[in-house]
Amino acid sequence: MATALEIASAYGTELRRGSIVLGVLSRLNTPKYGYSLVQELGQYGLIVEPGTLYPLLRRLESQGLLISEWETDGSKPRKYYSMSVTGSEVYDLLKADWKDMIFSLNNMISED
Amino acid sequence: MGSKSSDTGKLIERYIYAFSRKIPSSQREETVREVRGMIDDMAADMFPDSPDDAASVIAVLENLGDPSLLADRFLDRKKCLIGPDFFPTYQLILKIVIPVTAAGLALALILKGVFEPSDNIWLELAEGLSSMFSAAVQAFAWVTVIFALVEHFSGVSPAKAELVAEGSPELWSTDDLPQIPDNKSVIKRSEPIVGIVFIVILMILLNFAPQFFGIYIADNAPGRFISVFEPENFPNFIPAVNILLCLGIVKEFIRLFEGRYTLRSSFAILFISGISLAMFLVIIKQEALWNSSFPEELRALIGSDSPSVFDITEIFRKLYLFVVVIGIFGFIVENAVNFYKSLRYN
Repeated sequence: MATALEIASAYGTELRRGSIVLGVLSRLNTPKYGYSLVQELGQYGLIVEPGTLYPLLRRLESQGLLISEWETDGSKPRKYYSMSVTGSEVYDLLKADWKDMIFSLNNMISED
Repeated sequence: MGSKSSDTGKLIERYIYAFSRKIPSSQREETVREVRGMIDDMAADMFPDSPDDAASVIAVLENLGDPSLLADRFLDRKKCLIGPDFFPTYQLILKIVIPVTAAGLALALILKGVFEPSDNIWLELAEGLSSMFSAAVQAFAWVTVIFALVEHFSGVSPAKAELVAEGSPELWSTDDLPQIPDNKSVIKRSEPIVGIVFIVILMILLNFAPQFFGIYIADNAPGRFISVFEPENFPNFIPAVNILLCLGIVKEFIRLFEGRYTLRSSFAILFISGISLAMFLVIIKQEALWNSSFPEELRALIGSDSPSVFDITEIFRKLYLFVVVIGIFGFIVENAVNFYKSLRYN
């Protein structure tokens, strides 16, 4: 049997997984490369492993939510991602969903 | 990157190599470039004073974890040969086909052992066991290939599957609900399964012990079989016979997957059984297939002296005609029943 802590951590991971997309989209009004995004999300308290974020960025790009461009001028070549038009539409929809969900759940758990 | 000592550089290259092996070549270059940049950035961030030290690089790579798991995350594709839709049926078929294959082959070997005893029984036994094993492996492989193809062409795209899972209303309405089939239109699962079992046994016997299709004569000590097939030529017919039997298995699979009499399954079965019938008629028409000395041997057995009240060759000619008629009759009845049931009960 898994302990309460283990079970809670598994569900916590699941909760966080979906919300990462919202966090990522919220930061990509301006182009950013992978690691700078890891740091920025971290500053807000959303800890995402690079090994999770980089593949996620690629997937969002393949779904058409992000566009990317390689920046080769600096010392290191870096791929900069930013939101596409579709991406910002998705972001607005997701944001509304999120607010609804937070509102409902906050009401529910505040009754305890 | 050039500033890295060669050891740490090598470590990163090994990591990149292990990672890139799992990435398809079309995406490799770009993904590798990105991962390389990621490692650099992580090292610079986690160890600002000594990003190139071996210890720093090791810490970064261990933080990233197993490179093949990282590659999996980058790929994010459907990674199963047989998905959850077909897996239960796949398991069921394997549980039937593998034991049946082994048992059928065992039967063939026992027949051989009894009627054609060899001097070295242990050698015979070892060969028997090894061919049983390889037949079971082949059965497993073929079933897997068939299901993998079914899975591949069943075509529910992951994106649509996700939408369906979320209950997206545009993709589904109550109109899509299947009619509850009339009980008479249901094909019991046991029917096609028995069919498959029968065909597999027949296939094994024809492949491994065709000499036993004939008449057993106990005239001298071990006794012997007069085979109806010409022993020398029969191996040439094996591929065609196997194709014919495989068509039969495909037909049973259609019945198993469809689960009831429908027009589309009836048309599919009509198509396959049409080809099968044509093949069957062509095969049995070949003179070379039949043991030419069979009538002679039979005559000798009955006693050549006895007045020939019946002409054995003539009997075989009639028997052949009988088989042709049975084949055509079976074809007509089977398809008529299929179409009748699918039209009547749907």
